[in-house]
Amino acid sequence: MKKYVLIGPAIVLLLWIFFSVFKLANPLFLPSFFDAIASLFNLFRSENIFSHIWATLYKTLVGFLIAAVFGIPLGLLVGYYVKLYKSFEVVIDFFRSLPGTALFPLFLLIFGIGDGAKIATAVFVSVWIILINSAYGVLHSPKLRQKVATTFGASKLQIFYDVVIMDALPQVFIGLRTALSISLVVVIVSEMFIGSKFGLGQKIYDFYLTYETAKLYAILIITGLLGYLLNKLFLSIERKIVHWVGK
Amino acid sequence: MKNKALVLIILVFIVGTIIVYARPKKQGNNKQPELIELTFAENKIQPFPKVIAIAQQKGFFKDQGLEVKTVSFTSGKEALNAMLANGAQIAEVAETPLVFLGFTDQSVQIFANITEGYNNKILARKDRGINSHSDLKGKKIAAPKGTSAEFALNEFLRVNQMSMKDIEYTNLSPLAMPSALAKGGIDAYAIWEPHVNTGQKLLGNNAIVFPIETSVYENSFNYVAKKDWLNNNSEVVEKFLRAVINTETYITEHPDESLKISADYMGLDEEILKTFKDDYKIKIRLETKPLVELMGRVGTWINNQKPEAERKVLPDYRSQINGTFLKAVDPARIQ
Repeated sequence: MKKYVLIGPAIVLLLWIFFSVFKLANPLFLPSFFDAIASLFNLFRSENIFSHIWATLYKTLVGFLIAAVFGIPLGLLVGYYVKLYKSFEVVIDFFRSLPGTALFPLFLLIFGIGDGAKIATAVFVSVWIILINSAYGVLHSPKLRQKVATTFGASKLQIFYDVVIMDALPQVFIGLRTALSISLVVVIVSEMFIGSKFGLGQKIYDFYLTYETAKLYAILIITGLLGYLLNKLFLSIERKIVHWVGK
Repeated sequence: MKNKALVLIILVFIVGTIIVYARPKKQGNNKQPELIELTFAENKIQPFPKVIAIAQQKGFFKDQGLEVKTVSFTSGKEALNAMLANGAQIAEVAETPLVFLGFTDQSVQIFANITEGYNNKILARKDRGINSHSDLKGKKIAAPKGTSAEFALNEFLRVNQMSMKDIEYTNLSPLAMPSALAKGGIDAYAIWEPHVNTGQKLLGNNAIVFPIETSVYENSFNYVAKKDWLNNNSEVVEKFLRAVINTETYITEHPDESLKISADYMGLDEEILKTFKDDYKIKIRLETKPLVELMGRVGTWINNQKPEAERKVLPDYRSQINGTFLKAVDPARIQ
C-alpha cells in the first residue's frame, strides 16, 4: 500500500509543472515549481527560517496544549452528566459557532500585541473542538459496559476512570488531532493579520506584499509539511495510547 | 377544500408575479445605446469621497456610455491583484504596491492620480511623554510592514533628524493598532484614516496626532490598468476619465452630498468622515515628475531593506506612467 502514497503528491507536482511550463497561469500567482524549490533552499541558507518555524510551532503547541488541558476534562464532565450538557448546550454551540479570528481585536485588548493574543485565538478555536469531541465520546460510549462494571461493584469514580474515559478516548483523540491542525491554521492566520516579528504567517504576508511569489510558495510548502508532520506525529502517539482501536 | 383553493390561488399569484417581473423588459422605440461594461477594482475605504460610487449614483458613467461595476477590497494591493488576475480592467491603488510590483512586473501603468493632500498620520500617547516630534525617539512605534504608512514613518523620522534605528519599530496590522495603543503595548503608530480616528476615540485626551504633511511625503492614489488593455481601449479610458473629472466637479460643488453618498457606500458614520475630510481632496491629474521621484524614493527604500545580494536595479518608473489619455481629455491636468 505504501507505494500508492506518492501518487497523489506526484500528480499535484506534475500539474504544477505543466501549468507553469505552458504558462497557463500568471507567474505572479503561480511561479515555476523549480523556482519555488530553489527559493526553498535559499530560505534555509540565507534567512533565519528555523526561527520562523519555531515561532509558529511554539504558538501552535502552547495554544493546543492549553485547549487540551481545559477541553478534555470539561468535555468528559459535560458528557458524563447529561443534565450539565443540556444546561450548557446553547452556550457551547454559541461559542463554537463564533469565528475565532473575529475575536482578534478583543484578544488584542486583553493580551496585548505579543504572542498572547495569537495563542488565545488558537486556544479559543481549539478548545470547543476538543470539548465537543470529548463530550460526544462519553455520550456515545456503550452503556452496557458501565452496567456490567456497576454489577461487579465498581464505584462511580472507578467507572468514570476505567470505563467511561477509556470508551471516550478514541473520540477524544479525534478532537485533539482536528484541534492541532486548526490551531496551526489559526496561528498562521493571526500572524498574517496581527503582524509579528517571527512566524510563518508573517513570512507569507511579507512575500505576498513584495510579490516574491516563489518565496511565498516555498513558505507554503514548509507550512504544509509542518502540518503534515504534526499530524503524522500525533497519529503515531494516538496509535500507542488508543492501541485497541481498529483491532 | 377551501384551504386547497386558497393555497392554489396564492400559488397562482406567486407564479404569476414571478413571470411578470422575471420576463425581459421590452425596449421598444426607447432603446438606449448599449453601454460599455467595465469592472473597477477598489479599496472600499481609501481614498474618499468615493469618486466611483458618486459617478455611478449621479449617472456620470452612463452619460459617457459606460456601465461600471465595482469589486471592493480592504486594500489597494488586493484591488491591484484582482486587476492583474483579469478580475477588473481598472484599479485604484497607492504607489507603494505598484513599486513593489515594479520589481517583478512592469505591465501596469498609471493613467491618472486621484488625490491631492496628505493621508498618513502618527497617533501617540501623551502619557508616554510624547508631546513633540522629537519625543518619539526611543519609543515603540508600530506601522504595517511594507505599506505607505511604514514609508511615511520612515520619511517623518528622516526629516526630524531621526531614523528607524532611533525607534523600536513594531510590525502591526491596522486592525490591531488602536487596541494595541489603548492597551499600552506600543507608544505610537503610523497609519491612514480611519484608523487614527478610531485610536483617538479610545485614547481620548491622552491622544496626540502628528500629521505627515505633504512636504514630507504625499502618497498618491492612482488609476491604473494593464498596458495592453490601455493601448487597445483608449476610447473607453478617455470616457472613464471624462466621467471621473465630471465627478470631481460635482464633489467640489456638492461636498455635503458627496460625503453622504461616500459614507453610505463605505458603511461608515458620516460624522467620522467629517473629522478628516480636509486631509486631502479629489483632484484628477497626472504629475509625472513628482510621481517618478516619489516612486524612486519608495523603490530605494524597499531595496535598502533587502540584503545586498537581493537588491535590484530600479525600473524606469516613467514607463509605468501614461499621460496620453488624460492629455486627450484635458491637457491642463497634465504636468
